[in-house]
Amino acid sequence: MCNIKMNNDKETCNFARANNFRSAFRPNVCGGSTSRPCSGSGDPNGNPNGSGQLATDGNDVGGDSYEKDVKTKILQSSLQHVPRHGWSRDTVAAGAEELGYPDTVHGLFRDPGAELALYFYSASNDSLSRLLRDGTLTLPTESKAELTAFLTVAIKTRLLMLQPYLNQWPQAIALLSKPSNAPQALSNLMTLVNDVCYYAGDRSIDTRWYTRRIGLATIYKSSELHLLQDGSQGYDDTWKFVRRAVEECVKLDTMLESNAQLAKDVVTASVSTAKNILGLTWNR
Amino acid sequence: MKMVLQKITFSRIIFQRGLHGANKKLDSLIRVNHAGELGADRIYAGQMAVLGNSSVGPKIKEMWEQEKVHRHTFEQLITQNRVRPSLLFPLWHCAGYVLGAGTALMGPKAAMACTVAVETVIVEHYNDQLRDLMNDPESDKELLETIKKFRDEEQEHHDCGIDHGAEQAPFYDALTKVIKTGCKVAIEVAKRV
Repeated sequence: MCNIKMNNDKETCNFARANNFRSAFRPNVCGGSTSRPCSGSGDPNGNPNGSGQLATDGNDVGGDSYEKDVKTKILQSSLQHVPRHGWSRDTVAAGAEELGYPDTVHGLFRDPGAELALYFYSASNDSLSRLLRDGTLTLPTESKAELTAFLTVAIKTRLLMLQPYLNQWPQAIALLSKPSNAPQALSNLMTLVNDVCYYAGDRSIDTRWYTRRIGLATIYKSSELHLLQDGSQGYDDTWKFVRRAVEECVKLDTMLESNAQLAKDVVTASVSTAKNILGLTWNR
Repeated sequence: MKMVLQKITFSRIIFQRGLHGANKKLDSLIRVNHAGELGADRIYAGQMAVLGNSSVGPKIKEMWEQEKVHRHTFEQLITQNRVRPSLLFPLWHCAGYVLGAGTALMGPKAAMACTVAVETVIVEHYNDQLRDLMNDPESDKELLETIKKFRDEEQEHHDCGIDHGAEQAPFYDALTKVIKTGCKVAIEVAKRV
């Protein structure tokens, strides 16, 4: 029974795609359970994040916040089906069905599996940054040890958000590293480290802004890989790995800073030596 | 050229999509202004290193102090709005100093010509921004006033340069043209990178 149904779905889906499903679908939904206007373009409650985190679809005509809402809702309810179906079209179809939409609605998505993974990524980023903002995770003071602890806890919290989907996460990584999805995935990762750096008290305005973020992104990414093949009790190995990596990174950051100062001193010293040798000290 | 353009968009994708960051326009505006004021600060630092004890020293010092305030203001705006600083920070840092010291070595008048050229471009640039901000009803009034004030001060620096005989500098036309072009290129780059 189930099998037959699945096959039917696929056929309907192909059919719908062939008939420009995207435009055919919207009036249908408007007539359904929701009472919101379906004009879409005139909706003033647009996403305040003009960057369009969720509008991964390049063909989207601007201002379709209604469609975006529907997509977000569907993706949200799809997440619980990930352990069963992985990051795939079936998961999105199952999530849509639960909300009362026809399960062919996944035709809205260019690449349902990847968009689900991206949605999960940025939603987790948001919940982490809310945690950081509300001070649920302690803010570090000046000391190095506390900074290390803060970064470790932040990374650990974020990694634990992956736990329910850990078995399926390698598939998501593969999807996210597809060339069509990589820029968005990278941007998500940068948002994550940007938030962590900001709440860790980083207020640098020079190249350190970049080195710190890239360093943290490297730590996060490698810890994620470590977590995937961690068999230890309570992922102890991974947390130790994160701690070590963060410690090293903080040390490196201090070293770079003092080296920059050293380089500056050397340049100043050699310039004034050269000036003295050339007898150019007339101006001082 | 196409490759370069692609790279620029790529870097935008990576670094400009924060949920909490400033919007794209404000982000770019603050970044370029910070880079500009950093460069200006460094130019005056370079001029002071060479001409500090000459007759124009006090005047340069006075302008330098104002530029330091400008730079500091934009540094604060960067941290407040969580704007990405320019990736080319070290370049602006060095280039500003070299430009300032280089023209100062050609004499006080050439240094003033450099000031005039740079300030002309900066005033133009601030005027463009002000026009943009005034057209946008949602824009930040405080920011508008800040830029207005800075614009007026830069204009003063420009006039002061003229008063100190910038136009009598050797190769005045060629020199200012080169510096102006350089500044315009730097502005366009700092907006993006």
